[in-house]
Amino acid sequence: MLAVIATPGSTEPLRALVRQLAAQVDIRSLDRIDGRPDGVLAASIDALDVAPPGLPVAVWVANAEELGCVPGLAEPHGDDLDVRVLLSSDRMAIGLGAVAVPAAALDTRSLPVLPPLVRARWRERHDLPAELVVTIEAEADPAGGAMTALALAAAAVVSGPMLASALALGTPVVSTPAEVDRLGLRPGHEVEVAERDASPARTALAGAIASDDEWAARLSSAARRFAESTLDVGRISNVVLDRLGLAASDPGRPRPASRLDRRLAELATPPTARICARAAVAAECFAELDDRS
Amino acid sequence: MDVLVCAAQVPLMQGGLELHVENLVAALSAAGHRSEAVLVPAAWDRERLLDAALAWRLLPLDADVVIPLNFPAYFARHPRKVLWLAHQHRAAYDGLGQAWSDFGLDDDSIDLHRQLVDWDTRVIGEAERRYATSAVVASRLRRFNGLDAVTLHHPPPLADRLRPRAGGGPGKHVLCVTRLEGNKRPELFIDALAASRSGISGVLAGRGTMADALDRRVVSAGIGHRIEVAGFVDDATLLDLMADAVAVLYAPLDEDYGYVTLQAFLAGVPVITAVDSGGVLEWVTDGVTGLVTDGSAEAMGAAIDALAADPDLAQRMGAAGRARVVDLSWERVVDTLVPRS
Repeated sequence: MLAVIATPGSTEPLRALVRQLAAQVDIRSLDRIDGRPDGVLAASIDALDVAPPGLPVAVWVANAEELGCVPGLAEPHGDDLDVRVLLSSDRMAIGLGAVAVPAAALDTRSLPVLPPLVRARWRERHDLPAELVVTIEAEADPAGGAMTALALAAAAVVSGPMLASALALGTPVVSTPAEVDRLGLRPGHEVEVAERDASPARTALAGAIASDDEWAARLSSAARRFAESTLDVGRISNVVLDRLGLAASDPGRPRPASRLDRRLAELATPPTARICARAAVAAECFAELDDRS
Repeated sequence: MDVLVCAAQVPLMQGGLELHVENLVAALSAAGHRSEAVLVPAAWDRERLLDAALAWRLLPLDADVVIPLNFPAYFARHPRKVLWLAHQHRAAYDGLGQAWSDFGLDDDSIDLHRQLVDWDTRVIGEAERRYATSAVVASRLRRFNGLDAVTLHHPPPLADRLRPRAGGGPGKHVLCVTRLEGNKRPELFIDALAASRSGISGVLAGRGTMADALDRRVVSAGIGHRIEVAGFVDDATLLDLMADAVAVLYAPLDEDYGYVTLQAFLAGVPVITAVDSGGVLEWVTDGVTGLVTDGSAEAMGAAIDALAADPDLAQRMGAAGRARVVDLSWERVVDTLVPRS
């Protein structure tokens, strides 16, 4: 069981991570736990004051300056606290060893990549324009069709919270310098930024990408890699659980047990993929052989 | 070094890829490496398409280097994977929309397609270095998967035995050597010969599922007296046919590489092809090493007539073709794939 120590509002930067952790382990507020938890997630340095001694701890640090205030890091702290994970979205703190928890963290497993070639097939099926370009503004509602638009587009102009989803879906994206800086993206690699920061320029650039298969494919795969390596909350939660010595109990994100499962996991195969079902059938055949022997 | 050459095997089939594997293993061995082929059966139907891919992920490949050549062998998992890509699963890429592709617009097709393209991009991206057998194959990889590969050409089978005909002189026939399958478009040869006015004879060599239909087409075109449908020919016969050819007509649809072109050039014979023949166009420059047509029977027939009427032109083009390919060597291929440290 993982105990959370937080003051009201302090869990906001950790919301996606806490949601993910809750899907993997039993996680509760410290004041609602009768016995002794197995680890602690502190939403701030101040929260460490009430952390039970001797437990492995993960703690959120707002900036690099706070690192000096973490007990047991700046100076030996006996066995009172066992701080094993520092979490932050501050670049300097991350540079000093904190695990990056981006504000735009998301579960990439729930958003399988749609490469440009496959998007083109969907557009063909639905009689949509071959070079469909969509614009998703900051206030777009994910439940209002914006996600579908991102999944179908040949290229998209995206700003705001849905940029992370667009990257995970492998959408070839044009965005603004501010958004690109916010997520630590590299223009010309994972996204493109129009030379002139104006809407028509961005739309024109997206149109050029939509008509250039190689450009779109390169952006798409790089965007997905970025989402998996930097934004994926599942990867971050696994790091936290590993360092705290807690085993995931989530059937939805199981730790790959068999070699077969590990090979599927390393290829980021969605659990709903048909090949997973075929692999499971094969594994069952081996299990039956084991039973017979 | 210990080098494993990895490729898919379709049981009971023998084609260009199998020969390619044998030649690469032989070249690696000749260069002093210990080399063997690792062949794993694959099925191309959609239901089982990814089974062999997953199997490759589980195989223990204990060697210094592995060189996968095609889908799904490039799913091989190894810290030193050097890809030399001959082709991906073409039905899901450049073959989309072709009659021979079983990837449609239904849910199952698109779902499998998504998985395949994503997996391909990941596992090909793992390779320490990436090469492609032709610029066409490299271009597809960039276009569909966003990945670069360096083109690495190799000599065709029989390269050491193909020579321009002794004593020069005009050729006797127009030749088409190909598998008799839809994507190779052997029917274009029959149509082109029927459209030609020079009266030159033709030889169609090869076997495949279109053999009967092509026989009927010959009869229907009324050129039975001008064309020999030779079926499968052995190496010695092929060398003779090449040596006596005025030109080779080879116009497959978006070919990956096309040994026939290189073999014709080594024999000093120009090649007539079509603008949509893919890798063939890496070698055939219109008016220099052959003639590139729009693929119509009339244009190909005219190309046949032009070369039949001017043996000197045909020989000049053939010589230019030979100059373009004569330096291809397996030694260079091996040195590139497995450089000596």
